[in-house]
Amino acid sequence: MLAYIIRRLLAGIPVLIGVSLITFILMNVVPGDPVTAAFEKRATAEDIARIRKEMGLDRPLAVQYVEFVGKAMIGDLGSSFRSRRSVSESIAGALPMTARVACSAMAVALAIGVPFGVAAALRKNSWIDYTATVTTLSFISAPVFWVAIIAQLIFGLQLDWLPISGYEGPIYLILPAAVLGTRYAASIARYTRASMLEVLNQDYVRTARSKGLAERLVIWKHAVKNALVPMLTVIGLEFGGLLTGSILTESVFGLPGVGRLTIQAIQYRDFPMIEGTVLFTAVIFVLANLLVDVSYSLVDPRIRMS
Amino acid sequence: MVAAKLPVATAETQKSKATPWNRFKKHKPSLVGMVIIGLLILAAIFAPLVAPADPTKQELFSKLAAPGTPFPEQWGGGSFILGSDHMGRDLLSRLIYGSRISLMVGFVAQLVILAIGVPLGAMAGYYGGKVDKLIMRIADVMFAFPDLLFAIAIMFALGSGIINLFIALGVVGWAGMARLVRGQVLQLKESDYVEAARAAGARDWWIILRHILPNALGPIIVSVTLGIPGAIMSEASLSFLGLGVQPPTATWGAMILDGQSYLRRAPLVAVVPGIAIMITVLAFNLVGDGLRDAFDPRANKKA
Repeated sequence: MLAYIIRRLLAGIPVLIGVSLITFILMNVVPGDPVTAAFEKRATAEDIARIRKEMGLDRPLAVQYVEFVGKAMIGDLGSSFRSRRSVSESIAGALPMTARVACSAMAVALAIGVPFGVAAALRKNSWIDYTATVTTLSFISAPVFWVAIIAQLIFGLQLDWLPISGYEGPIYLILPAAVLGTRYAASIARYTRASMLEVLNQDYVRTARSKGLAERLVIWKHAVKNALVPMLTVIGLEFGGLLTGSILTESVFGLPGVGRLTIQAIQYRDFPMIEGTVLFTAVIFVLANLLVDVSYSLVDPRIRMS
Repeated sequence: MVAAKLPVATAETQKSKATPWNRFKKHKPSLVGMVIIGLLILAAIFAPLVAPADPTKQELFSKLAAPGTPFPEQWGGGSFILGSDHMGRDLLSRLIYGSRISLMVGFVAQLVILAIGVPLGAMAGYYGGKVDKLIMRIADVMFAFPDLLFAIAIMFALGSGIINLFIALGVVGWAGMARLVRGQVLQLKESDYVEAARAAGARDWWIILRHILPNALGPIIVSVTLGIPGAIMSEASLSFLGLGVQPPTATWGAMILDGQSYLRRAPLVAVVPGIAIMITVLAFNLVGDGLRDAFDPRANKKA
């Protein structure tokens, strides 16, 4: 078991190196030179040369990359062009907000998605199944930022029930969590339905039924429990969607999280901040997937064998 | 030798194609999706004929006009059927022209993904060993970025514009296609007819192109069909974040961005383009689902 976990973690290292390399190339090589790109309209050529020298951008790219990775490993992602604040501190300040949005949205998604998926699978091809399928497909097809705006329009501007922008307490989370959560509830319901349909055809479900077990017990004790195992992967996969979904949701609802930090940095061409937030988000995503793999192997021992 | 084999291979492909098509025809939601996509393509091609006005023509005196307001006199006859935006541009015309960007991005992004993903995936699967390891390692790194975040970073680095959008979505999406094709090739290269072709002295690229890929077409088509709505959604999200196509080009995502500031006075400006995105994406998803059921990749996987 431990060997499997260690092997899995080691396999993550080349991926993390690749992620840092791509982020570095995108921010330092593709646009030419970040200082020129950020300041060319506001500073003289001498100023730019001076800033470049101060930041060490006149050295070879390979040296800069090694320094970037080395510093990133001890949590130093440089400082913002705009606020001069340390990038790591800014991310640390914004992280609780993003965590709140993502976790509450995931809770909403599971609370709605699993029961709907199970119900749709049990009554396959009934009107419940049909309605659930159409509703979930429509939700998946609507852009999350647009659903957010519609929610603001209805529950904020028309009904005046909930605040639509900023963050001054948990009530400000209701709309973002509901919007992002229903979006993923739709995916989760679809996966739950498919997974349940597969499980319901298994021999052990037939055995449970034939030995006269109450249908309620067959469903909840045998079927749902097993159907939820693949859901771990789904939650892992959807976690990336949740992270990027929260970029869009945070910017619509004006929540000061990591997503909004990224978007603001893009508006101000704040290269160190973009580099930092992109690297941070990607690393979190990689770690989340590793965690899913490892916990999957804990739940289902067959995985470790292969 | 090889030429003599050809008719057999094509007959076989056609036979396996005929059944999925029959199955697909019975899937009613897919047919609805096909009709919607057909109408959208017509609207995009004939936009200048269908749209009541020039989508970029501004008239500041008629900004945020209510639906039904007549066009300004110098525009000739007609009216703002859905109202106008904050620059006095006709919302319906922008909506119709917006379909061009969405569809073009959806299709071209998939072509880019095919052009990168299929050769790399086929090489990885066919040759195995170091080539396979290298390509799949790179693909793993691509998977390590959440899609939209990756696209955001690329668009930021390259700058906005439709060509860069194609590049960004292609770079983000190729790894999934490569993985799919690799899996198919791994499976099919063990088959008897590939063995036979190899024994007959066919070259590797001929075997891949002529014998393996045609038999992997089903899953590839499904993946492309389901990739189109993904690309349309990514384009809308990027445009909404100001990282897509340059204004004043009408795109649905950018229209929602424009409308966001005028929710109270003119909610339609933000609401209508979202409905267009939803219908388009839904139509492609329906067709993709139907195709998936028709080709039944599960049966392929077990083979």
